[in-house]
Amino acid sequence: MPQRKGEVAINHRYCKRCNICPQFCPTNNLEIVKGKLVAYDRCIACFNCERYCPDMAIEVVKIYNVETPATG
Amino acid sequence: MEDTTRFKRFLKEKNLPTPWCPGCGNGIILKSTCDAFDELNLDTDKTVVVSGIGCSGRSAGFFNLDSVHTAHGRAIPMAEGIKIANENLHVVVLSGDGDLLGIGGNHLLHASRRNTPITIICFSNEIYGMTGGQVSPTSKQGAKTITTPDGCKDTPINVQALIKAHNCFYARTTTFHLKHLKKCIVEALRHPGLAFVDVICQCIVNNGRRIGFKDGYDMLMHYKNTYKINENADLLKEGEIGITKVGVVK
Repeated sequence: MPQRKGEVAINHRYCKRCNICPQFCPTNNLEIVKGKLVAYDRCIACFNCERYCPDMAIEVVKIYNVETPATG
Repeated sequence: MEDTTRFKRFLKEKNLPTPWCPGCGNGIILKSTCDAFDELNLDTDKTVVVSGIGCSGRSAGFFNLDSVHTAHGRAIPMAEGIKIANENLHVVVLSGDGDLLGIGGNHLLHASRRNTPITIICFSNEIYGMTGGQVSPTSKQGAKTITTPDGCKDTPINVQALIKAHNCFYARTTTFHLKHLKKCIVEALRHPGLAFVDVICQCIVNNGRRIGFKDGYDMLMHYKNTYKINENADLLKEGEIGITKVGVVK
């Protein structure tokens, strides 16, 4: 389980479905389904989609204090 | 908690969304410019944005600052006039390669000769995008456009030589290297004389799809693979990006 978790907020009024963010996402969290961008719950808050979005349509909110399983 | 949307205070959000095509790189430069303004904490009353004609000319309307959208090619004379009228203003020119180097090429030459303290951010997409994809002064040799279907025969303009000949600040960057892009704009705004930032940005609809790219992501990946960062170079070679040293006349 990832140690960081985020939530993706998409502004559908700004989004032009240019298909940049789904290809930048390392966890395949974003996808264009029937001409609309959708976000799932696999976000690790890497901010790639927010930084490369040319239309300022995506905002990622980082959620802290995610309980991670003990390792070792 | 770090706020990644603080740059939005420099934007008129009621004017959004931007009118540019899906996958266009202009939005990334607009955002990075606001980010650089935010890092330097510029006074919104003491910053003026000037833009010319073209796709990139639309960017002046999105700033929550005083902005001017001027005649074709005349963004630099307007910026010089503003600077002469009030020396305390930060004057930033945002315009395309066709506007700055094609139609307004003479003004750029003379502004760099005078070393006017303005910052120029050039959206270099290697095409006249707004009119449908004609060949522009920065089009690479062999590039297919609607006016050169067999490939462009001319060599592109050497902006670096033009700016460096008058000992001004020159930086080249791309829309893929976001941190570098922001750093270049911040350094350019800090420079006391004329500063020119050449931002290579993707135009997918009128340029990229004719030279064999699928979408905006494809072009960004091409920039990632082609351009290597070279800091503190006297002169940048082909395929290199970076900030050149000021004070080296070649």
